[in-house]
Amino acid sequence: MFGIAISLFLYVGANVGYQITRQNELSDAWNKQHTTAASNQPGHLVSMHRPRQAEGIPLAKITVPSINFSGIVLEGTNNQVLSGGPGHLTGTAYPGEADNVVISNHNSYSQQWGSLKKGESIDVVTDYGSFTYKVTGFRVAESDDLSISASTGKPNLTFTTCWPLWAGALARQRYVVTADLQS
Amino acid sequence: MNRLQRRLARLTTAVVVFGVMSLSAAPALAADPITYYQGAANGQALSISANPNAVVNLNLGLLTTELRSILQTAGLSGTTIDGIVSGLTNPTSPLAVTLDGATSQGKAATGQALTGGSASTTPVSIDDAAISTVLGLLKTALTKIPGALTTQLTTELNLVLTKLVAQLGGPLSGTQLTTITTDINAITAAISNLGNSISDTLGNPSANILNSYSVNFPDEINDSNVTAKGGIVTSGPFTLSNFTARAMPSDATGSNSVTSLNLSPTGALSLANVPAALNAIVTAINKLATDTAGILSVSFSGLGLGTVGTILGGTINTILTLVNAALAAVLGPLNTAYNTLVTTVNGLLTSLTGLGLGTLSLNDLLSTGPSTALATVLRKSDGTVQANAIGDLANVKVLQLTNPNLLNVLKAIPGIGSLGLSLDKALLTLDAVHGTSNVTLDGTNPSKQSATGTIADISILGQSLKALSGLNIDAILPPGTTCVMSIPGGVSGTGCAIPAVLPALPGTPLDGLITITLARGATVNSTGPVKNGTAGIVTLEVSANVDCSKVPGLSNLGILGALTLCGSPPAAAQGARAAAAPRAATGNMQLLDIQVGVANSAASLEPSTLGASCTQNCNPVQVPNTGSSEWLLGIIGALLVLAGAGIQVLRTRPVKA
Repeated sequence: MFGIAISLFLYVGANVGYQITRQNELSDAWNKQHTTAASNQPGHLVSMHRPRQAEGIPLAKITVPSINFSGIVLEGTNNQVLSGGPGHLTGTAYPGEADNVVISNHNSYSQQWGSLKKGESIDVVTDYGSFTYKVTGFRVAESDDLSISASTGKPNLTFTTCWPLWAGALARQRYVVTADLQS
Repeated sequence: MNRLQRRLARLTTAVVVFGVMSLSAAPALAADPITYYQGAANGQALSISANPNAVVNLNLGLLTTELRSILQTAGLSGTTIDGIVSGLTNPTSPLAVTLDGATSQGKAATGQALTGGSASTTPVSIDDAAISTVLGLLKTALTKIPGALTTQLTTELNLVLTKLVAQLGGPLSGTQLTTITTDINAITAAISNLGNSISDTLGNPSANILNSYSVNFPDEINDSNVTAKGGIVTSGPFTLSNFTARAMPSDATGSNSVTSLNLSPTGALSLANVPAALNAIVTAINKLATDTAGILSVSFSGLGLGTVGTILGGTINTILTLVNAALAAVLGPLNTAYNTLVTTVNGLLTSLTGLGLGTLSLNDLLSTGPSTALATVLRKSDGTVQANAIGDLANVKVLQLTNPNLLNVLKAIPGIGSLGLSLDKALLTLDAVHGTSNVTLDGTNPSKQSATGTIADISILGQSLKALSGLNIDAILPPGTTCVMSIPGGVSGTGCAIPAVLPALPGTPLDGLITITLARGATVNSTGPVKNGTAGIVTLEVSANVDCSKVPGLSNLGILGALTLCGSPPAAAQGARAAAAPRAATGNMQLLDIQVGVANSAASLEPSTLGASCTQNCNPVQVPNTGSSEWLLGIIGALLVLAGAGIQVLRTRPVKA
């Protein structure tokens, strides 16, 4: 029994360690590349999508001060991307664009999102500017609910993770946080 | 451990194993389709592009006239001559000389790695399609001449045959007719061989007439750099790191600047094989004469006449006189025609290979200093795609006065000596011409496009406009404006401030003989669509034209010298061809047209082939499975530790009796 427990701890430790290490690397690289210029400036709303990044390329830095959450968002949501941190759902808008930006993260690393409150800020920093979104609502949806990533025609951000937050890979629903771009 | 405890332990183990398997076997799958954009950009830069079309067109006109004169002398009818020269029209394709061209392009079709990119430099490029066209037309015309002359000769020989039949008093026998016909065919074949030989000879230089040239570089660079191709400096992943394609010399320490250009002809027409061809014709005609005499002799002896000496001798003499007359009527002009043609064509080839205009060479028309061209395409890690181009030129001299004939033309302009101009300097000198263009696509709408050109100074006959006016060139010749300089005469143009700097010359009958147009490219600072853009500039375009109606005035003043302007032949040729029909001298003849500081950029973003593109109102996709069990497994592990500890406590507790 102790052997099983040790194996579990090793497995968990390896995964958590990988994500922490990966996020630290990404964060260091991000900070080096974004010390000046556009990323520190307020972003401008653009009507067309920006040139798309390749999968696995850092797209933005997301920070939620009220729940002490921070992470480098990579393009794409495949297993490799999500094991290293939050990912941007390919095919949805980019931060600052006039449509629905969808960012997803594993529920194990999103426990604190359950305590987020309406009106709190989500800051997104990109190469081309910084954008602040205000939380407008929460809901639980089925995994095949396409309305989560549907076009909204307005600049907003949707954060998703699996629900229940505690259920790990057994979770079959989605926890959805919506936020609007602060004018 | 009792039975209950063992069952509890097995159950716990089974639950844990099942849980671990379930929790760890739920991968988060990638979303599909993936939407990317590919970036593509290209840049082009030219330091100089010159089109001295007049060189080709003028000489072709001259050659047409020469041909007409020669063929008229040879006795060909006007209709026949029209048929020969009908194809000799001026070529439509320009003769273009490009110095320091650079192009680069890059493309990422997958949106990730670079899938296509190239860069190249062109130190010197000569588009000699026009020359090839001219040579092709000449070959066609020359191959028509033997046919026309053969017809002429056949007519003369048929007259000989008629006389022969008359002398014989009856038709030729079958054998005699065969002999005479064979002789005439041999003559015409020999003439055709002469024409083909000339045409073939003409064909040889057309293949390589301008394939040999030498370029002087300021630095010691391996000769291979003359045809050096640039390489892609960086070809890494398109999005993971910057991509740059740059045209540059293969020798990193060298420069691709061209300081001078000299063209060397590698082929020329030769008359070496013409005498043999002419001898073949003479031999064939002599055989005809001999055979004719033989036929007459046989015929007379067949008639059984006793004393035929006087008659035979007189008859043979008559026939030979006729044959010689035919020979003189046809072969003489033919010989003269080919000699003159070859001389003329060789003169054309010489002027073409030297890009000369009479005694005026390309170096008299245009001389350039060091120049560089650079074209770059770039995609940054944030997705921004840029195309840049730079065309630089240290200096360029237009219409240098090193040629005494050209200098005489200017010296003859009344009043020019009083202006304090330096007649030993180039008519126009441009210093430090710089053109640059940029297109940036960074996802913002609208996108940015820009192009600018700068000129440090313009000098006219050595007089710096900047020094004379105290103003920079942008104030004298602002971007987007055009100055027209009439020489002799003044300068005009809306927004052109040169008239305030240089006074006009007194009016003369030669006013407007030469017109130099300076067209300054407009600055580009515009916006465009979010997904594509182009920007370009020709910092300055200079064209020089001659008003052909003024050229006779130069001839009357005796200062045309050996120049051939507007189709007027050099003085020596005029004397030799006094009988030639005068040519109309109307319209303009372009001496040259050059573009300096040329920079063109283009960039585009296109949907990638990886997945459907999404711009607005994208179709929703299913959000990923983001269940991961590290947190839950950690709790289970902790529970296991607690359970194990509890079991251990139970196992070690003494059993109550």
